[in-house]
Amino acid sequence: MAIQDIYNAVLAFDEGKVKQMTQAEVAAGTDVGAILNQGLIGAMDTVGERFSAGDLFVPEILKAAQVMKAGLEILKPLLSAGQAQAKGTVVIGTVKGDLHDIGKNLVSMMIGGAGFEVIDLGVDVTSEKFVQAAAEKKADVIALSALLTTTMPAMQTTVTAIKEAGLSSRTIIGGAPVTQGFADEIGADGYSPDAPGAVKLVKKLMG
Amino acid sequence: MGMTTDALFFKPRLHVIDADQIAQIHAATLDVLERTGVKITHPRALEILSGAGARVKGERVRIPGHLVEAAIRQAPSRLVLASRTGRRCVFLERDKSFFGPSLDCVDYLDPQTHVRSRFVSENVKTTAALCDALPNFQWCMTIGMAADVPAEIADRVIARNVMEHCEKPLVFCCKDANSVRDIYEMALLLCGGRENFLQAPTIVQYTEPISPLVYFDPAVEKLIYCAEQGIPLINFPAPQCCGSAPATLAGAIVQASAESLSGLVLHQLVAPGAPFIYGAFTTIMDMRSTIFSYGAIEMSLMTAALAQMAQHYRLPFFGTAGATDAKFCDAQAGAEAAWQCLAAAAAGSGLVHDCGSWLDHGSLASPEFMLLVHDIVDAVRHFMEGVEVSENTLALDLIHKVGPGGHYLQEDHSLQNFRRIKYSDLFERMVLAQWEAAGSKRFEQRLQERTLARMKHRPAPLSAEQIKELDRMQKGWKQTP
Repeated sequence: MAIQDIYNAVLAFDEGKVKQMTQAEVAAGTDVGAILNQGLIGAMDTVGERFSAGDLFVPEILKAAQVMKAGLEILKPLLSAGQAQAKGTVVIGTVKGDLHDIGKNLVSMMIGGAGFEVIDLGVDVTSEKFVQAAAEKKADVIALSALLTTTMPAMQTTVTAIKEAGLSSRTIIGGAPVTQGFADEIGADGYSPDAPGAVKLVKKLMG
Repeated sequence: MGMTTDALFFKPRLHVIDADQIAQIHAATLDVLERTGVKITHPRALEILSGAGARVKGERVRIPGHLVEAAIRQAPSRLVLASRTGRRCVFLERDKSFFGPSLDCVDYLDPQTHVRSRFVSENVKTTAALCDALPNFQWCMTIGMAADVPAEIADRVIARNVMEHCEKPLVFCCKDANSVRDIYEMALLLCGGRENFLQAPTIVQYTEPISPLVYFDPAVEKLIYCAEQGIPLINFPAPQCCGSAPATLAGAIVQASAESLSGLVLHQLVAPGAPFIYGAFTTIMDMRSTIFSYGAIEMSLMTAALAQMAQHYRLPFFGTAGATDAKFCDAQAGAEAAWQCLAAAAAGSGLVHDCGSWLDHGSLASPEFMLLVHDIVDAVRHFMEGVEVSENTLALDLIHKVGPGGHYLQEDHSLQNFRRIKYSDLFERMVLAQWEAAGSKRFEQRLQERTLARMKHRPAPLSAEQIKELDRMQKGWKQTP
C-alpha cells in the first residue's frame, strides 16, 4: 500500500511526499528493490505511457523525473552494486560553433531521467573534448546536437574523430536541420527527431 | 476633412497591452538588464560596454537603464528601404506594416509534384523570383538554404542568387561579418554605390542573440560591422515560452525585449544613429512535441505586444506572420497564416517576415503557401484601409435619390466605387453551377495553377558588366570554416 503511495506521489509531482514516504518505507524495512521498481520506476513507466498517449506534457515528465530522483537518492546507499548501477553513460553537447542548447538540455534531462548517467559538456564543444570525455567516462553513447546548418559539418568532424580515436562509443545526432539521411552520410549510429525518441534510441543502442 | 464636414480616416488598430502595461514592461526590461544582464564573450564589445558605464564582470554585462534609454532615443525612429533598382518601397515608421517571406528553410515543397526535398540553389532562385512577382510582398529574404552549394560559401551564393532574381530589398542572414562584407559589396554594386545605399539601404542584416540572454561572438561581430557601415541591423532573439523563456507571456516579452535592446546599446555605442530594427520571435515551445511553434496564437499575441513596445520606443520593428506548423498548404496552414497576418497588420508590425514560406515550424518552404499568404495579405490590406467616412462614401444624396424599394445597380456611384471591393482569383464565390462549369476546381487546384503561372515571372536581368563583377567577387570569397 505504501509503495503505491510513493508511486502516486511521483505521479502527483510531490517531491516532499516522495522523500518522506521513501524514508518511512526504508525505516519500516520494506524491500528496497520493491520500493525502487514498483514505486519509483513503476511511476516513471506510467509517466512515459501517459506522455505517449498525449495526457502528460514535457514539463510534467521532467518534474516527475526530478521527483523520482529525490526518492532514488535515499535508496542509493542501500541498493546492491547491481541495483545502483546506472543503465549506461551518455556524453552530450552541442558541436563546435553552435551555442543553441535548448534541445540538448531537453535530451540531457530526459536521458538522465531514464536512469542513464549523463555527462553534459555544454555548448560549442570541440571534437577533441568529446573524445576526451568519452574516453575518460567510458561513454556508451555520445550525443551531438546542432541547430545551424553551418555547424552540421562539425558533427561529421566529431563523428570521424570518435571513430579515429578507436572508441567503442556509439554516436547519435539531433537538431532541427539534422535528418536520418545526414546521420547515415556521416556514419553516426543513430538519429532522433525529438527528445523522447533520443531516450528510446539510447536504450536501443545499449541493447 | 475640415470645418464643415465630418470626413475621417481611421486606421483599424489592435492594442493587446495598454499604456500602463507598456510602462510596466519597460521597467521590467530595464530590471533584467540592470540586475541579470547578458552574457557576452567578445573582447571588443566588453570593452565598449564597460567604457560606456556598463558593469562588466567576467562575461556578464549588466547595463544601467539610462544607457538603454539613451540608445533608444539615439537610434533612428524610421528607416526607408529601396529595391536594388532604387525604388523606395518600404517605410518603417510609426505603425505601418510591410510583408515579406521567410528565412533559411531547409526543405522545399514542389508545387508541381508536391514532393518534399532539400532546398537547393535552383529553389533559391525560383522562390526569389516568385517574391519579385508578388506585389503585396514589398521585400524579400534569403528564403532557403542551398544544400547543393559548399557550406563555407553557401550564405553568399544564396544572397547573390536572391539579388539576381528579386529586385526588392533583401533581408539576409549569414554566418559571420566576413560574409556580411561580401554581401554588402554586392549590394553596393547593384544599387550604384554608397551614397545611394545610405539614402535608402537595399539590404538588411538579420542576426540574433541566443535566448536566454547570450551573445555568440560571430553575432556580435556582425552587429559591430553593420553599425560601422550603416547597414540596417535586425537584432532578433527567438525565445520560447517554457524552454528558453518563462512560460508566462509577459516574462517572455520582457526577456525578449531585454535581449533585443541589449544589442541596441552596443550598436548605438559603436555608431550613434546607425539604423537598428528591434523585435523578437516570441513563441512557445510545444510541450507535446518540443517543437518551436510558428502557428501558436500566443506567438501573434506576444509579437503584437512587442510591436506596441516598438511604437512606444519609436524604433523600427521586425514582425512575424504568415507561418504555420502544418506540413502542407492545408486548412491549418490557411487558418494560422490568416489570423497572424491580420493581427500583425492591425497591431502595426513594421517589417513582417515569414509570409508563406515557413511551414512545418520553420523548416519547409512552399511556393503555393507563399501565394496563399500573399492573397491573405491582400485581404488584410483591404481591411486595414478601414471605413472611409466622407461625403462621397456616405452617399446620402444617392440613398435619398434611390429611395425605398429602388436599387443601386445602374448608378454611376456604383460603377465608380465597386472596384474598391476586394476580388480574389483564389478565394472563389461562384454559384455552384458556375463553379462546375469552370471545371469544379477545388481550392488546392486553383492555388497550384496560379502558383505555377506566377512562377514564370523573372525580373529584368542584370547587365553583363554587373554579372561579370559579381563573378569576380565570388571568386574572391574566402572559404573560411
